[in-house]
Amino acid sequence: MENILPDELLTQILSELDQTSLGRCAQLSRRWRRLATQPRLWRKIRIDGYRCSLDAELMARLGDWLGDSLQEISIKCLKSNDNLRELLVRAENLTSLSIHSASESCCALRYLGLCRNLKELRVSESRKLVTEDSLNLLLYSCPELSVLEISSLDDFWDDTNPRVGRLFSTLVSHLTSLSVCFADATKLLRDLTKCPRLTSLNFAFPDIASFVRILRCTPNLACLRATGYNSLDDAANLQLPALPHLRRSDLIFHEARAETTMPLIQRVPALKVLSFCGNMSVTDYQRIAQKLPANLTHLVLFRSETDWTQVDSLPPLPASLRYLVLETWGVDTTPQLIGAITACSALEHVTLASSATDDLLPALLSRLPRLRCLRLTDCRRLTSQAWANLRHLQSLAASPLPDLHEFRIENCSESSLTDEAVADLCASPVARGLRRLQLHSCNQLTAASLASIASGCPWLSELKLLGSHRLIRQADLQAFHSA
Amino acid sequence: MPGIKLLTVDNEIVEVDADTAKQSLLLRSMLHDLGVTEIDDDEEAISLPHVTAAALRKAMAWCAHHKDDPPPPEDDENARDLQPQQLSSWDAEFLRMDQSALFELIQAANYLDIRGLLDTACKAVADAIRGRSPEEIRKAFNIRCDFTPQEEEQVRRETEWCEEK
Repeated sequence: MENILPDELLTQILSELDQTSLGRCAQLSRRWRRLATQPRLWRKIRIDGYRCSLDAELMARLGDWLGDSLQEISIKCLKSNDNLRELLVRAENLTSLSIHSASESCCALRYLGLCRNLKELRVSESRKLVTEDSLNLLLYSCPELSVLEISSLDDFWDDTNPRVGRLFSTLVSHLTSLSVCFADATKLLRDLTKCPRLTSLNFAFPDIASFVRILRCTPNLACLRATGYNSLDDAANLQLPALPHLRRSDLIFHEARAETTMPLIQRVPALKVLSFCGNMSVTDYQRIAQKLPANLTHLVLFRSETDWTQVDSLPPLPASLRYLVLETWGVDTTPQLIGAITACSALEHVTLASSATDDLLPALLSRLPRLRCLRLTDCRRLTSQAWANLRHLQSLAASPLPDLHEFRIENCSESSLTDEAVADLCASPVARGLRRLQLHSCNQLTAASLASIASGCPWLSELKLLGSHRLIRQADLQAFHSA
Repeated sequence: MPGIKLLTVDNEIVEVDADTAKQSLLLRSMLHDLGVTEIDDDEEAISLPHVTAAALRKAMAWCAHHKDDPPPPEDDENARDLQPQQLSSWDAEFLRMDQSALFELIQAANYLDIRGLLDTACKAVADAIRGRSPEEIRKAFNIRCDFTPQEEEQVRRETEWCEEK
């Protein structure tokens, strides 16, 4: 390789790599070090104070090496004695800074005055990092700032201070994108006035009145992501302002009742993602599924115990749906549910927690030609027949079989997940393209399963065998890994 | 479909389908400049000084398979929750070849200016690097380490911060 490919092409290969791999490539030889350390390959860096000491020497070295090229820095676990200044003072073209779990005393934001070109700031899990001073710095020293994300009210030093609220609202009126997705964010936005520049907003709302109040300030919104935290009993009286530019909205509800969520689902335009967290009765599911907008791409139900067996029919899902998560525990999938899912031929991702039956697997894999990822969380009832069926998928499929990249099987009964079952799976035409395979309850498996996987899944990059796999010797696993 | 004749660096004349060949921006502009529309036995083959016959055939096979691909989607926000773009299994299977052949193909794709193939083949090499230790990468790509032990130790220390896994 060293002699065949010119620098330019080797550099293109390197540009496909993540920072860990680039660092390893720099260790290969002199030529590789020269190519892998070109600053243009390091426009974005992530540094982690858990893994290495963020001392002044490292910060200065990174700054001297990358300097003007550096555009994005993401820092985890910044401590008070870490010298971020040494880096920022050398990174003149920095446009994006993310700070995650900085210690309370590190005051990382006091260097914002050095970041004249900053466009994006993200702060998460960093107690009391955002102060009145740092808001002032953002307002007056970072004129280009347009994107701001803050993960919780804890990130603020003193959110009850009225000056902080006013400063924050003034800052928001300059932004194009704001994310403040925590339950009491609307308190912080109590002074918000018109924000005509804001096109992207992610926020949480405690009641419909706050939801409407915020949206009245954002007439040019294009992307909306809103999380409803409490019960929304006042939703029936929703008077939504006109949002003519909205082209994508996501709604996330922390309650799963049709009665209170339907007014929003029906009236918020351009709904693409709909997610519920909490128990949803099957009749509520029916009511909601009947009224889903035609262009919905994501539907998610978390932590529900929806009992599919209670009804004889389910409404069809939107044909545009690409991502479906039904974390509905406890009961079996029914033919009606399987029918509703397999009718969505655009689906790329399916996660299902209802108990899988033997006919579920072949139905999903033969009728969803675009499926890339399948996760089945409750496979207690699968028998050896389910696995044997996988060998004959081709004969069942009316359309091309999916190019499946990820397959995850959880909670199998130990007696059904045998070496034969794994051999069946790996002999199936859908196993060939797998990149990630995860199997739980592997007590019965022996090295024979590893051999099946090695021969049936040539592109596998991640294999997880969970539960005790006492019959597989460590040496066999190691041999598998190095192959 | 009309065909055209190409003379490769290893002195072989390869006949390829003109429509398929036009996915190569180099061949497209050559054909345009020469006004070539159909095969003519008297026509001289177009000479490709940097491409072997094997790599040319392989590149044309890739183009034939991908000729009806839709153009790549522009920054699709809806894709953000889905898995990052990986090689399709067809591409991964297609690019399973020994390294020198793969590198020849990368050079051919670059010379012929077939953007999609160049990107895909570079991704395939990157996939083979990712997740491996330096020693494993050296072994896989037959790379000789020309560092002194001191230099090797120094560059190891200097890149320690990059490790995320």
